[in-house]
Amino acid sequence: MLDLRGIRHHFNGHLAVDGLSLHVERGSCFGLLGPNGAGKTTSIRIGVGLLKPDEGSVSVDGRGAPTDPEVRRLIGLAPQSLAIYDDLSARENLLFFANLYGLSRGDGAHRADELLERVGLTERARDRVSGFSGGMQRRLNLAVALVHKPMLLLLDEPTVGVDPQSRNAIFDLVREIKGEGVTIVYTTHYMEEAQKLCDVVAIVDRGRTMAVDSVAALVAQHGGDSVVRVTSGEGVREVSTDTPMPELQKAMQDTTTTAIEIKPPDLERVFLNLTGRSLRD
Amino acid sequence: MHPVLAIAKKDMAQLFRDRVGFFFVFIFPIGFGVLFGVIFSGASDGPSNVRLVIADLDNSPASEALIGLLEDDPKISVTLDADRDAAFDMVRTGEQAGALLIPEGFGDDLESMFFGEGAELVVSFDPGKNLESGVLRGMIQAAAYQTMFGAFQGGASSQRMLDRARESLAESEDLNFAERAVISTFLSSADSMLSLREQDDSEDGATGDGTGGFQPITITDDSPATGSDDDPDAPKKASPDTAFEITFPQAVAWGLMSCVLGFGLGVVGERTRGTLTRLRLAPIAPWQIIAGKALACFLTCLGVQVLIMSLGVGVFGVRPDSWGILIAGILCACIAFVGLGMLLASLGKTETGSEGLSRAVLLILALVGGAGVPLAIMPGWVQQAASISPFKWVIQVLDGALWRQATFGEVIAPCAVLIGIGVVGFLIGALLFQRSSD
Ligand SMILES: Nc1ncnc2c1ncn2[C@@H]1O[C@H](COP(=O)(O)OP(=O)(O)O)[C@@H](O)[C@H]1O
Ligand SMILES: [Mg+2]
Repeated sequence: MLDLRGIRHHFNGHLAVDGLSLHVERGSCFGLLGPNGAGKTTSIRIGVGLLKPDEGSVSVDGRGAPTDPEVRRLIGLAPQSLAIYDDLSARENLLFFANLYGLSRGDGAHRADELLERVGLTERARDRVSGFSGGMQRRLNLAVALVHKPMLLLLDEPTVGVDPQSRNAIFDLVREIKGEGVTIVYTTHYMEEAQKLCDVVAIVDRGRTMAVDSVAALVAQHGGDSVVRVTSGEGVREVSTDTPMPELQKAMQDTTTTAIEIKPPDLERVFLNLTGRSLRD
Repeated sequence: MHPVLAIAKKDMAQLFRDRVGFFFVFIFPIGFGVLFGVIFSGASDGPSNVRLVIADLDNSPASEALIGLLEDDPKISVTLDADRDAAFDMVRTGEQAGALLIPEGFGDDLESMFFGEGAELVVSFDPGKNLESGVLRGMIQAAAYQTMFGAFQGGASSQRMLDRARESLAESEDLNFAERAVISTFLSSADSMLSLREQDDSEDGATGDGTGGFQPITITDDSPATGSDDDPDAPKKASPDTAFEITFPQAVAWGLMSCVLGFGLGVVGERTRGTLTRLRLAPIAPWQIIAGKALACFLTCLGVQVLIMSLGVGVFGVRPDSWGILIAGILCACIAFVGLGMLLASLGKTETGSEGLSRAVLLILALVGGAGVPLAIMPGWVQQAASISPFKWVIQVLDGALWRQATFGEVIAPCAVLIGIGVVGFLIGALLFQRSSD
């Protein structure tokens, strides 16, 4: 559905994307996981044709580059920085963009009301966006990306600055949209989100993809061992092992043990093992 | 709805909802026009504190009387300078709005005006200051004639003058009977006027027009040559019907300024708030985004001008001499300010940066262009600098339509300048905008 090949891009001598390639399967949810500054947003902007890469090519659905308006019509983007008019109401925002995408007045109104319902903003439809909470603005930002029923939806950190309730609403919506057959590209620096939502995750760091695979495969390949963490009279002990049982038995026989914890490998660890750095820094 | 219209409609909705923006586009300019219109109407119908330099080479009682009269006039602030050339130079440089030369022998000529060539005064007015020139011309004429009649009032001196006149009349060989009769009659009336001791003051009575070539005081105009495109100030007696005809074009200028500011900020806001991303992502051409915004600016500029002018005509007694020129001026102003707005919008990168820059540029252009104080009462160098300001040209065309009785030929140049500013500004702005979007 979306192919980036050998993308390289720099801003004033600073290399932001360094030979990145992606292949996003139709109907999948593809995660771009990486810390701030990894080049996720830059890659997304290149992927939708907002930015011309120094090198490399982009193709959407095998129809060519998104510089073609007809190709752009297939794409929906919820940018990382909110892109909605805060002096218009939620509904007016949707109607305006519906109009730009060539929906008739009736279709636009219908679609706007449907989306407001889906992101839980029906009650506030006619209120100005400036009075919305961060979570509400995020949800509207996402709804606007859906107004023309895109086949490919790119969500750039859609949960930044969002309360837990809005966050869950966004997760539900993403699953729902995926269920409708829309291909999703989801960037985040929260490994839980990638783990929860994405079929395939690309680990991105310093403008490169370090590894691309399903979460399970990534963990199996790069996650390393489970960690057994025991708190006892001797203090806290962490043991890294792929066979945790003996360690557990040992801890259970120790009468001073107060807590036992097994941490299976996760994407955080995958990242650490791949880059030598932590995801959140 | 066509995307261009949709963008224009959205932009205008945003402007109208922004209370501060709305205030500065519509309320403030109208307030300005009305307030200053009232102030000007109240104070007098014209500018005050007009600067006049007088070079008195005569130093006679008559010249002193004339200077005294002018000094007493509250509208004029008089400076004395002994040197003719220095005085006239001050007008040329714009330091003074007008200069008056009282030539040597003025007093004598005045006394012998009925048989000699009459007295002469030489004036020079700043050609850029039509309003002031008008005031000064009227005042000097009035004062000169008042001085002349004052000579009659002065008992001994006037009697001496009349006696001298009769003597000369008797001696003169080159007058035919009819002329002799006419002048005798005039002198008799002059005699009787001595007892009346009134009659002066009104500017109309003082122009001495209807006397068929008999000019007891000639006022010679020695104003510096005007620029090629300035409207000739002397032959026309154009004057505003009401002070609002002066202040409403200024109100229009303020309205235009706020429109352009709002428009420019709207464009920068799209960029900083990220919505430009969505616009560029939509399946519309880049030019449609620009066209939509330009259309919004055009319509708002048009709206504010129509509103202000309608209010002027409907409520404040503004009576355009030429509706055609008024409409042409309004449309050209829209074009100019769309271009200016586009240019300003593409200059600033951040909203606050752009706002500061635009505000500064626009304010200077507006003030220099005469939106605050009529250009006419500003120093000459400001009037020179004003040519870069589209506000000046807008006001010039609107003034021309409302009260200066401009002809279409006279407004072609300012209209062309406005259209030029619009086109050039738009092209450069659109280019910068496109480039900075990548
Ligand atoms: N418009 C820009 N101008 C200059 N540098 C930029 C710009 N956008 C991004 N960068 C730089 O490129 C790198 C990648 O940024 P970005 O793609 O935003 O990362 P991410 O979205 O993963 O946080 C960062 O070092 C960032 O500072
Ligand atoms: Mg980012």
